[in-house]
Amino acid sequence: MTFQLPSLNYGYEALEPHIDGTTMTIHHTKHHNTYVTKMNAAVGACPELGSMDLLTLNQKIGTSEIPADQMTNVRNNGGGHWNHSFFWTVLAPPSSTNGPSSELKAAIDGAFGSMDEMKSKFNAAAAGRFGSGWAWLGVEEGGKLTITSTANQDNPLMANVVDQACIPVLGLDVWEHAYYLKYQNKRPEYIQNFWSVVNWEAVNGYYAEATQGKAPKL
Amino acid sequence: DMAGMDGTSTVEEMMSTLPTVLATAGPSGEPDASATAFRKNGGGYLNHKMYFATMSPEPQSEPTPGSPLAQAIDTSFGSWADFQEEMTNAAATVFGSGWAFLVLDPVTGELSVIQKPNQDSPYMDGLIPLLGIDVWEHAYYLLRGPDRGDYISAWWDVVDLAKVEEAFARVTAS
Repeated sequence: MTFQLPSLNYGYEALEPHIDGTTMTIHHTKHHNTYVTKMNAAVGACPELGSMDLLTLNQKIGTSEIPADQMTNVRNNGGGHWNHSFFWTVLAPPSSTNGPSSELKAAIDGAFGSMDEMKSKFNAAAAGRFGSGWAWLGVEEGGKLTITSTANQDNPLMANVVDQACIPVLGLDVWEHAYYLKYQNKRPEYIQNFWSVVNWEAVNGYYAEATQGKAPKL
Repeated sequence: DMAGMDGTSTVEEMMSTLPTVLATAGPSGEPDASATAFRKNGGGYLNHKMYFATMSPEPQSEPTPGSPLAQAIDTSFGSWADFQEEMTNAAATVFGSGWAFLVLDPVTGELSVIQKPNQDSPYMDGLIPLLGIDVWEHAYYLLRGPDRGDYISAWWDVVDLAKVEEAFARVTAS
């Protein structure tokens, strides 16, 4: 198994002015690429890791299926590779972002009261994650929508190590590298702008799969 | 509420008692909210206070030969160069947001290099920080993007050992 940096479905400048082209370029070609390189190095050093695909590696964090001396390496770099691969797919140019499906909208209303209340809760999770990490909207076992945040490159697929496991349908990177060049310390402004570039078509698809217990196919 | 907030304790003293407070779950099963806030903001305050105080545009770049600090560094690390290598490596390998610190263990008198996540302070471990480097991305991203290694090298060019010697003298006098 060789891990590869996925291409974006849009140009680096396509999310302007909400996410700037320089950030997208560095984020994809440096930060994400480093996670890919390090995962391939991990497989080189520990070939048994190569028998598991990226999703499985994430799901097995904290279990004995991953060698103990590779756990942190896989958590950080396998998590980083999955998270960023997922993130690029839930973003789209502002002109093409559509909206939630009727099923997803009903689920959002049911779980949070309204779309605005869901966004409010998501924004709070994103702003409140101290240090580096991610905010997530996901489907819990049982089918209910939930909002959570994780530290560093953890994600809610890592059921054995996170507070709240779920299948992600939407995520937001709140590491400073995701916003500092344009927003500096104004993380809440970055979070507000994020909503203008959410790719609801992708999110709708992930939601439909998640209600069947299936993780996003990247 | 955290004890000492009335001004009867220093921030450092409160920080050293924080682990006990954090370990005590409140009614919701979570540590007291003010303890968590103190960890982040008190830690951030102490860490940045020291960081800015130990840099200078015209720094003393190495300890004064034969000084108590120079001797302590040689004893604990072997040499100044060995210490620099360890500190550099610690700073480079922090994953996510955090710091690398040169700390004094007041019980053993030994110096060591530690990493801390987010704004956690070495005072939480009963250790006294003498020098620290902020490796949160905000500390270097605007000038250097992801190149943390370049930032660490540049930081060594502005670290002022005169300030660290002063701090060392203060903490070892008591």
